[in-house]
Amino acid sequence: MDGPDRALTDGQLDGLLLRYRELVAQRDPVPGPVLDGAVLAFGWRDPDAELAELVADSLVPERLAAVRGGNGIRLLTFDASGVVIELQVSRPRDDMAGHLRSPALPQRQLEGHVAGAGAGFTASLQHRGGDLAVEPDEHGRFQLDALPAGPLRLRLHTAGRAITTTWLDL
Amino acid sequence: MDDLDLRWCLDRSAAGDSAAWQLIATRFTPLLWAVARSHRLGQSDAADAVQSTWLRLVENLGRIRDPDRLGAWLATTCRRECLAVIRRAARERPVDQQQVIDLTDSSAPAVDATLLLRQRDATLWSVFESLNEPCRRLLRVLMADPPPSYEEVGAALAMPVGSIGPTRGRCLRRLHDLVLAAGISRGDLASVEKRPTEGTPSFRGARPEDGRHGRT
Repeated sequence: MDGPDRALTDGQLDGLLLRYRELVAQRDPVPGPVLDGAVLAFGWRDPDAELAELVADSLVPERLAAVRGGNGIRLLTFDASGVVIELQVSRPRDDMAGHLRSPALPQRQLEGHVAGAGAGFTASLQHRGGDLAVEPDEHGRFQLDALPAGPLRLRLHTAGRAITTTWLDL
Repeated sequence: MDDLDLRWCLDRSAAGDSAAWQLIATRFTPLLWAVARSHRLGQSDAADAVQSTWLRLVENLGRIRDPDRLGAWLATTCRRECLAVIRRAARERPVDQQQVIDLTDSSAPAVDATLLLRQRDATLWSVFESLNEPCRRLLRVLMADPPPSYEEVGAALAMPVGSIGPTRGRCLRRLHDLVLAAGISRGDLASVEKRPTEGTPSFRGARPEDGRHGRT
C-alpha cells in the first residue's frame, strides 16, 4: 500500500488510532460485569493454602476419544510437596448430534484421586457460585457429576494443611 | 507505569488489602478485555478469559517480583487463557465459527440527530473489521484505554517488541487507506475530542502514543 499515504505524518496516524480508541469505547467497551469480576476475583485469595502446581495435563481429547468411544477426556495431575492430586474430566457423548448447537452441552463428570494426603482428608470443589462438597472414599477417590461452568479448583484439607489446585478452565 | 504505584498495590494486595487490588483490577481490565477481543473471542468467552487471568494473579500475588512487568505478565496470561478458550471451543463446537466470533455489536438504535454520525462510525468499524488479521489484532490491543506499553502489547500477542512500532505504522497506514476508500473524508477522521495538529511530535519512547487520558 504505497502511494500518497506514505506521506501520512506520525501525528495523523496517532490521530487515527485515537479516533478508533473513542470508537471502541462506544462499540466494544469493557462490560460492567467483567470489571466487577476482576474486583471480585480478589475474594478467592487463599493465602493459607499451598498451591498445588499442575505438573501434567493430557489435553489430547481427540485421540483419547477414538479409544474411549467418543468421550473427550482430560487428565490433570497436581503436586503440592508430596500430595498428588489426579483429576479426570470427561464429557459423556451427546446423542450423536456432533454439532450440538444449543447451550445444553452434555454434563461434565469429574473423577479424582488424592495420594499422599493420608486418610480422612476433606475436599471441596470451588466454583464461581460457591463450593461443592467432595466425598472421598477410603482410597482417596471421589467423583462429581455435573460440574458447574466456569473456572474450578479443588481445595483439600489434611492434617493441618490446606492445599488448592490452580484454577482450571476445563 | 503511569502514576499507579504497582509495587505498593501488589504488596498491599498480597497482604489482603482489597482496595489496592481494585486499583490493579481497574487499571488493567481494559487491556485484558482488548487482548481477549483481539483474539476474536465473543463477549462471554472474553469475559471468561479475563476472569481466569485475574484468578491467576490472585493465585500468584506473592510471586510477582517485578511490578513493572505486571502488565506484561497479565497480558501473557490472558493470551494463554484466550488460546485455551479457543481450543476448548474448537472441541465443543467443531465448526461453528459464529459462536466464537462475534463481529459487530449493533448496539443501540440510532437517534435521528446522530444517525449520520452513527453511520460513519459503523463504516469505520466495519472497515476495521475488514483489516487483515495480524493488523486487526495488533490495532485492537493498541486501542485499549489507557494505551498499553509496547512491552504489554508484545506479551499480549507474542510479538517481539522491536517489531511493534513498524507494524503499527504499516497497519495504521493500511487502515487509513481503507477508510478513505470507504468514502470517509480526512476531516471526518479527526478525533471528536481533539484534532491532532500537523507535526505533533509523535515518538515518545516506548509508548504507542501519548496517554493524555484522564483515567486512572
